[in-house]
Amino acid sequence: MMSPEMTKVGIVSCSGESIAEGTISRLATRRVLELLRPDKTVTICLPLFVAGSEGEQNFAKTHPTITIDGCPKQCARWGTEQRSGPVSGALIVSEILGTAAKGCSRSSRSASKPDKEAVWIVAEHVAAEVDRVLAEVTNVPSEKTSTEVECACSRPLAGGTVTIGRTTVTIPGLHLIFEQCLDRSIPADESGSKDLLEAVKIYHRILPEEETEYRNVLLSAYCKFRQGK
Amino acid sequence: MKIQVLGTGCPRCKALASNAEKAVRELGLNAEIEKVTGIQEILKFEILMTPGLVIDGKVRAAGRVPSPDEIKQLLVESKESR
Amino acid sequence: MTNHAKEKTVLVIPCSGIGKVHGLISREATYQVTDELAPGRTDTLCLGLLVRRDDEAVAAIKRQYCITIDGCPKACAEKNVQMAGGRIASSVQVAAAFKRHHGARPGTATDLSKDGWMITREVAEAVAGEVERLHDGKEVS
Repeated sequence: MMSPEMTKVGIVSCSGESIAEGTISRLATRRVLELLRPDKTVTICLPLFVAGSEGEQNFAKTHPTITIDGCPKQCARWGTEQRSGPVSGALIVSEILGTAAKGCSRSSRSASKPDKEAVWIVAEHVAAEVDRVLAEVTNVPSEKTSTEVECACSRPLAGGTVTIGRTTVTIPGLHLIFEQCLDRSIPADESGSKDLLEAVKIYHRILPEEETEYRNVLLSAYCKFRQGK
Repeated sequence: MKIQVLGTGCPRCKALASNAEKAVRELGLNAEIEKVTGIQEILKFEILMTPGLVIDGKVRAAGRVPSPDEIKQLLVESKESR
Repeated sequence: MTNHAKEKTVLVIPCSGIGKVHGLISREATYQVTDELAPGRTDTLCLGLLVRRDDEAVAAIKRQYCITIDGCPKACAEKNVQMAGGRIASSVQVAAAFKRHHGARPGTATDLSKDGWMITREVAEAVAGEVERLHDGKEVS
């Protein structure tokens, strides 16, 4: 029985290049690794896993592993089971999304709302699967009501930092919040600063007396973010 | 007043729902609390991450579990902005 | 596209490495080649299908010229295509492009920055150049 603190779930994504579902599998895996379960998951590239050394091929022997495939050919599952043994879970993007994947694109450059929603949906499924696998291997009930148990909602988003006064503050998911503001055409000037502040307040508590300073700092950070785009 | 708690039913979502119920009780508000668990429904609110707290159709918190005191503050603000 | 034309297309196969920005660049460069720079002359193919030795995929890489794009010296795309018996005309490494852009901040394995897209374009143009060379040299049989 593995201890909850030490266990990580391995995720192997097909990342199939020919179809949008392959891109979605890759991006959903990244989202789980970076945001939804950053301390509970690891990944390895499928081609490296197959072509790599024994250490890399032992990946699924040392981690409970789930695979995310774009289509029913399930290349990631096949490769993992061939090299390392049975997987603990196997998801297929085309089955999760059904016809919703039809409007999605292969390249992230032309990522539209359907693309982002597809990645969101699949990532939530993957995160739930990670929880299920972790509950099984560590014998921690997934329905435990203690707020200390890791779950779909428990991880703070990977943060960006700003300086408020003399304090460095980490704001969860700041990059993503800025992406959302950009999508909503919030301008990077004084006229957009209120909407920017309101967007950040959803994910990070800001006290009323701090709002003025946050507003200025966030506007500056948002401007830099937009320049880098 | 309508409060919606967005999440697929994990412990944190339950904690948020519990905190919201406590906040409503302590303020003596007449409010309906709905748990939204379907992913397609949650998507419509465009939050980056669950859980989410929605008050009268407006997302007030997401990706974290506000305390009952903070939720009380958000409820009062919502009421005043009507 | 006719079957004859399909057979003349060059297959551009990236590593799509999930751990580093280089893998994302390899993937996006591939799409720039197949969708913008050399559409109709190029196509891509899931590396995963080669991993599982899918019959159609293996037949394609043996029949058509392949250009692999690898993010790093581990060269997973090149190795997997070779292991499956593919016909590699050229192997491109993204890391080589980085040597010409010291100090560039390309973004992350999830999201490319302006610098990242610039490097992607460079890699894509280099691959498109290789495709042109293959066609001009009438080596695509």
